[in-house]
Amino acid sequence: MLVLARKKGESIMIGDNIEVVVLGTEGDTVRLGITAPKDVDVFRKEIYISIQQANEESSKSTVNLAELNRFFSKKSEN
Amino acid sequence: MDMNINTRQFGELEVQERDFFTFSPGIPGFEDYHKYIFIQEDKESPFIFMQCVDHSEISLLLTNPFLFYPDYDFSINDSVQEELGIETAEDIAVWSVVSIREPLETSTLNLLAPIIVNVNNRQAKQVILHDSEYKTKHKLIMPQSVK
Repeated sequence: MLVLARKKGESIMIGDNIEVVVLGTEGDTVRLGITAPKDVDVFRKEIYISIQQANEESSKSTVNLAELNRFFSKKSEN
Repeated sequence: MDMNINTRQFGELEVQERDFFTFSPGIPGFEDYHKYIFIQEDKESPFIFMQCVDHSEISLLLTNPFLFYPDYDFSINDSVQEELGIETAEDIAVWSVVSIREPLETSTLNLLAPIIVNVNNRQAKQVILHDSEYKTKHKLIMPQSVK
């Protein structure tokens, strides 16, 4: 891993069109500003991982559609 | 063009290429796969399957989130609108990914990352809502049964 020390207000470039600037720090928290092209998605990593897990879980679910429909139509009639 | 694909829920199915939806960057967890078909086995059911065309084991269960959370609300930012070629609200369909668990009432749906579809050009994306209150695991409960 490349490690760079940066001060508040300084930035790094990733390639020629992604800039990450250090806006400031508060305790353990570092605030970053990110400028990237529209087709580059930027996420907090733990959020991305939670969505990966939810998608994988959905794809692994054993679904009995008839049972599912019965369950939710029964609920909606209450 | 007709072709046959293998599906997780329904075995081999004959599908048409014009029915494919394209997720250009893939979706989280399955980043290498870009073509999916939506299979609605039962028109009365609130659930559909999002089956990967190129991998039979990738088959997500989706539902209309507004049936379960009528107040669900978010905006689709300009870059996503541009990426999907969205021009009007009529272009858009919204689905949420469902995780089925036993017992069924512990099942959840992901409101943090809705699947946004442009129904006209069949471009789609799983959008992550930044800075929203929504989470990946909301209870899958019909609003009537909450009262």
